[in-house]
Amino acid sequence: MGTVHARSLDPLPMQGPDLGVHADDVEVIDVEPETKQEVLENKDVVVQRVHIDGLGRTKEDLLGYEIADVFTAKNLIDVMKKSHDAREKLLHLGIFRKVEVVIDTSEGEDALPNGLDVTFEVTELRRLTGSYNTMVGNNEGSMVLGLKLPNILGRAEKLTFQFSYGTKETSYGLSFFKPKPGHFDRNVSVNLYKVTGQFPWSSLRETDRGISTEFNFPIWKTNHTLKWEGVWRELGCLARTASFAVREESGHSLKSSLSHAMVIDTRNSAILPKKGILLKINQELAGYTGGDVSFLKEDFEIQLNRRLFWDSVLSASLWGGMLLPIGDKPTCIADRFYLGGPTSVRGFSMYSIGPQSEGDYLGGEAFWASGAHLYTPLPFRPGRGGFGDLFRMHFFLNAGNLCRLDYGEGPRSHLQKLAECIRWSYGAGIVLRLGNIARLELNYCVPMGVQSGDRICDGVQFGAGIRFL
Amino acid sequence: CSLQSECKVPFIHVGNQVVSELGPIIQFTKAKGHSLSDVLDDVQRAEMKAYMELMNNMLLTAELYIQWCDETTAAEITRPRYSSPYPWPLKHILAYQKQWEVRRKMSAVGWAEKTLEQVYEDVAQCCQALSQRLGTQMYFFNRQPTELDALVFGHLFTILTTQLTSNELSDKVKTYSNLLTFVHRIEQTYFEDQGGGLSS
Repeated sequence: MGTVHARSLDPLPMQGPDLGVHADDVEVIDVEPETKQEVLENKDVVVQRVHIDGLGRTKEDLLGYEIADVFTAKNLIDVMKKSHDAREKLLHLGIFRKVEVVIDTSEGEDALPNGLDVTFEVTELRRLTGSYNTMVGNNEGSMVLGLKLPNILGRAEKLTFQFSYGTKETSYGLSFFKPKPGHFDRNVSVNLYKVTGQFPWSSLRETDRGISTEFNFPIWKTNHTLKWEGVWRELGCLARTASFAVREESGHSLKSSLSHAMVIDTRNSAILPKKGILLKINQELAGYTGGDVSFLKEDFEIQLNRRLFWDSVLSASLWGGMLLPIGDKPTCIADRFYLGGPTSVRGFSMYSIGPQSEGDYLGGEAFWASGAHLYTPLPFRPGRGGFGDLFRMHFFLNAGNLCRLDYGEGPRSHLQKLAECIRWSYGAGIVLRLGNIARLELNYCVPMGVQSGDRICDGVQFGAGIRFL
Repeated sequence: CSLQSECKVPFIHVGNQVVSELGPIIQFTKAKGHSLSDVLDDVQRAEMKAYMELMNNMLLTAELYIQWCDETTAAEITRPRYSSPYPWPLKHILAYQKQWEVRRKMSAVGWAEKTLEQVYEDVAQCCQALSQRLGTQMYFFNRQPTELDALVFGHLFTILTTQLTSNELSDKVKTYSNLLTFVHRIEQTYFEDQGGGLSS
């Protein structure tokens, strides 16, 4: 019978000797009408049950939201697609190491002829995971110990602890994260931390001990963060040669601030985007909830990317910000804006633009910076499709300005100050993408519009950064 | 001192340099060619150093003890005074941190076990030594003031003008009339245009 069927399918065999083999193949197909598979492919199906196997401490009600969509599937293709989506969602929760999907026909007394059972076989992450790193940098070595307790209460909550013990400083951070069930993007986190920063451009050392609570939630295409932060800041000098202006800022202060951030990001990649826009708006109000620091701080960041010919990308960005003290106290050196460096206004040294005292940069209360970049692949494209794709060449034009505000003069003169004596630079260089978090740049820069007191880096400049103009 | 956490009073600001504490300031002015103790001979200079050490080891420690280790004084005067520039809750954290630091220092120098009475006794002894050395002279070494005079004046003037929970500390100083006259004299000679100050 099989051979007959084969002949009817293939009445004119091209090659005589292959005929027998063909016949065997077709015989297998011939069996198919007897199984359910062919029936289900085109007809309606009903997902009768969804099982999740391998749950330990995870609460089932949390997963209900993630897999609910699977029940709405009407045919087999849909079931597979929705199961796949559900699998992605489950993995996104960050509580499973492995998720596998098995789709089978329903069995049992109440099984419908077109009923399906979907089973997710999950492997939970361990209760406690740890990491240990050593880091070297800035004339300092440190060891970093990290502990993570994923899914600690069974509903995708996460507790992380990081402790860094350095030759100069120790710091730590404890963070608790809880998403809203069914809406992973809506989450709350509470952080407790101590961090120490050294800012040699200002001869300043800052130790922050603080607590913060933040809510993240999406609205339409935007992501919002509302945050309250209470931080005890201790400022000190890095060296005995620190200028008096920096010494005067030393001591303890307590900042309690409410802030809001809004982000729209349609870029395809955060580090070397080819298309899309980024808009970030930050606002921070300090002083109304306690503490002895009062100010209103606003800043924004815009980046536009457009793909041109031959894989090259034109990118334009603009940053700006303003810091207004509330009350009689002047602004604190730790709150002000800084500009300059290999990832902002290139050709100037790190944060070395604007007001300074004996070589210590004091920062400004208003700033703007903009950049235009043309990114192209490397000439002759070595390593194309592999390692070479991590690299780009770029030609850039950066400009910016930073100033302090004398509040008696009114807004007109402030704008005038920012428009006068603009620092700008141009040049070209190579960019290396490090994962999707950071990038390294090696540039040849020509700084222009240098004002007295600015520290420049004429020629080759190397830098790394996660935020760049 | 808000200028730098390691920086202590007194300090001077010369050009872009900040020199803090008495010892370094004396060294600094000496390097610039000014010294109050140039007129002294070696024996006197050694004697001066000894008295200055007495001040630093006895009187200074006693002052710290009374301010931070006597709980009444600490609660009513020292902690509120120390924490006054800071907002809640930082004021409490910093005040208790400082108190803990001072108490640790006291146990390091073996004063933790002392009672308040013993400390007042130490102050009395210290004042007696100073009073005997001063005698009827204008200054500790003849008619010229030296670094020792500056140090003694600084401490005694502060003790006499600072209101504490009890007057016992200032009463100990007031029993030595020549020390009182000495403080008045320096105040009138060098600080009289500043106003305020000691009211007999």
